[in-house]
Amino acid sequence: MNRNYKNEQVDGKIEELLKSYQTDFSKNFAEKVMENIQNEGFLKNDVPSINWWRSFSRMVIPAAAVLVVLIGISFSLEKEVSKDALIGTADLTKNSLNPFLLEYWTY
Amino acid sequence: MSDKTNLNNLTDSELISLVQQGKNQFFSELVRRYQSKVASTITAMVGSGDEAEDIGQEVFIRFFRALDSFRGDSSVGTYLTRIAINLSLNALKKRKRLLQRFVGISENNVIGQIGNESFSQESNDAKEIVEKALKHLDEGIRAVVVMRMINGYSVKETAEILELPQGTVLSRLSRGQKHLKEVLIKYNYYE
Repeated sequence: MNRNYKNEQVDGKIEELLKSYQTDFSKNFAEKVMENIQNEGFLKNDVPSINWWRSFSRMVIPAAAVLVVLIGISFSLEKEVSKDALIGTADLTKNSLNPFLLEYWTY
Repeated sequence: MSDKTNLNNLTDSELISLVQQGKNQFFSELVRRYQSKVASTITAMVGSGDEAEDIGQEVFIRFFRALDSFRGDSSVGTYLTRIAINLSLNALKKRKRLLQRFVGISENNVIGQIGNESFSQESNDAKEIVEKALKHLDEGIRAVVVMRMINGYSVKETAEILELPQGTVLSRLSRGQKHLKEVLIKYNYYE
């Protein structure tokens, strides 16, 4: 299958473009590496990823956002139920309503 | 003579010996010497950003951990490039898995398609052009192009580092250039 590729063919324009590609990390990159190395706990525990805080925050922030939304929905539903109960339109025979809430709001 | 001049006079082997003796501070000189090479390899593979910097950190930490067993069979630059390319390939695989799992997109559907993004007309920024164009290559082909055409390794060295037959390197190099040319034509970069 590779018989056609015995010799290297290089496109001059692409070669020139790719050769000019050069980049670097942030200025304090070396200092960060040394900090990580000097962190004995990290080396001893052999944690697979050094960006644990970033991974952690990526999990916690969305989870917190979902929690806030759920609390908001729960709170608004609770208000709706209590309103119905107060004006006497709540269907008290339905088991789906929280008995504690009904008792509390119809008291 | 300043400390900096002294450090510049030390060879890689001398620096490694000093680190192996427990003088860890000399390791930062090795990082400074090779961080640009490692950065070019990683950003060409995964693109620039926090992820590239994280992989870069991991490359040097792995090197530090392996220093006791480092025998110098290959140069420090080659050794670091090998770690950088392997970690970049792992990151790309992970990214692909996440993409498939959560978005339901197969990266094979993305690779090869030339999107609507374009380079700014005045853009002469080779970095931007190269990174955007390389994104269109399959990771296996990209690794070969990066090693051979950005890092300047020979076909033989590229084959050894990537543990591929030389014929495969040559075929991937050919396909990579062909695809890059199509992308660059599409972006009006290639006349």
